Amino acid sequence: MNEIVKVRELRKNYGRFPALRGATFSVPRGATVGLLGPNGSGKTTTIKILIGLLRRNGGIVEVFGYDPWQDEIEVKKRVGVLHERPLYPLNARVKEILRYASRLRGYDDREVQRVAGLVGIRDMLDFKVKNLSRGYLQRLGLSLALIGDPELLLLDEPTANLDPYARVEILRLIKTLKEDLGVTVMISSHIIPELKEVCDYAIFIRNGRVADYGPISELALKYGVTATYLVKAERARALARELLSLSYVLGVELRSGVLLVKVKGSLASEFESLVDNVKGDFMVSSFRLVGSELGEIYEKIFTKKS
Amino acid sequence: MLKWVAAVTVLLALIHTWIVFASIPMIMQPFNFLQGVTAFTGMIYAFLIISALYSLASDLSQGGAQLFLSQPISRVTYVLAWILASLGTPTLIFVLSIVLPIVVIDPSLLYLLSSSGLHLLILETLELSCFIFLVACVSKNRGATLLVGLLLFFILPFMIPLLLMMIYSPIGAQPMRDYLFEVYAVFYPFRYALISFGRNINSASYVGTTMLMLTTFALILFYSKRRLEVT
Repeated sequence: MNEIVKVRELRKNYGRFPALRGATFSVPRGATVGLLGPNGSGKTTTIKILIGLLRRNGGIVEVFGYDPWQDEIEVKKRVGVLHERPLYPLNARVKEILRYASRLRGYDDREVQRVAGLVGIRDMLDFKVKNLSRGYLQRLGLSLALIGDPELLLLDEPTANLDPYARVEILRLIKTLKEDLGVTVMISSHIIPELKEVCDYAIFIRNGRVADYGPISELALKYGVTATYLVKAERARALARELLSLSYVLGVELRSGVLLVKVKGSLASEFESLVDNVKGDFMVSSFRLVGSELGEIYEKIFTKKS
Repeated sequence: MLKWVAAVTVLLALIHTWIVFASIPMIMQPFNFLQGVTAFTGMIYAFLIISALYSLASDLSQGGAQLFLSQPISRVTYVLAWILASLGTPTLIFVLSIVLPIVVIDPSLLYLLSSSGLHLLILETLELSCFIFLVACVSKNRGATLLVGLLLFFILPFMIPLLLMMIYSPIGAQPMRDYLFEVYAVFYPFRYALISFGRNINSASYVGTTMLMLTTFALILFYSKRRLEVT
């Protein structure tokens, strides 16, 4: 897999306090990565090191093969970032901020219109920043991050301090952006359930150390958590009946000829070989792992580690 | 209550001291009107710079810098932009605010500038500003920046000569006093010219002040390249 971010034994101290104590992980191109961990685990520090705002005290960091501290411009050209608590000039208009950032990246007003359209703030370009709601401020932050079509988006707690409606809206927006632009996205959050819908790759961090990382499907198998498969079959109803009789199948949902099957992660490979064997009998056209319980993986990783 | 009385007394004492110092050119012979004016307006010039550097510290500590430094610009470019905004712009405003009225009234009066000590005032202000700039970058603390700014521009330049005069007799040869005044002249060439009643600043002081300014400027660039972090 083509890794665009490589981090090895990353260390960062704030005075005497070690914020990162040898974090190691990588991010493959095209993934939607959840950087997950409790408050104070080192998520924001990691993101700031990746964009070159903070200097590391040890270890190796490569973003697109560049050191973000030394080759800051090369990295910033290819990375867009939404900070946790962005501070905008309150009396500036939305279009002024976007125009300014666009010019810093060598773009004109067409780019302003494009990114504003992508995040749904085209009607608010003449608004002053102080008149925007928190949800729209996050959209402004996202549009700033999208200027110049970055290859990697770093989103630090994009739903923090938002009301539930705005939170759902922002997550939906991130999902759409991901599908439309095909960009690699890294989202840090301590709210696990909301990332479940968006991420296919996870990095679990706590106390400045990465406990584990990888594709969620692989982590699900590794930690034996519930795995969800999508099975397309001509005889879906009959297959559902057959699967429900198996002890390791936790549930089957039939949706217009497509089955969503929840399987105990530890026996997922058994399930896969069974479906392979009965493909002909039930006319199975395809099946794939579509998701796992992120919260369960999180719990297992940190229970095991502690 | 007592604290307020003390604070207001100190403040008024400082204002009186500034006025006395700024009035020196008016009792000097030959009297240069411009030197008196610039001694006053120089304080506004300094205040403009301090408030701009306060904003820089605020930008670095409150998260405003994140907005800019997340775009493809280097830390050095960011710092140079701030130097231009916080030191360059007030200097331009200050110079133009003196030159333009003279040009409008009578351009032949521009010669007055040469003996007004304007160049000394600008050199002194930029030298001190570079130091405050460095403090703002390193501390990322608005309070510390403001404090150092006020101390360097409005308190020390007046307190040091007063203290020296209190310690040493103002009459007769005093090698130690004279040496300390030479050091004072390096840091505050304009104020030294004021309190020495127009005595010429020697070239060593000029070189010293310029070297001090350039060294601090180099330190700012070095710090921004190697150490400037945005938390």
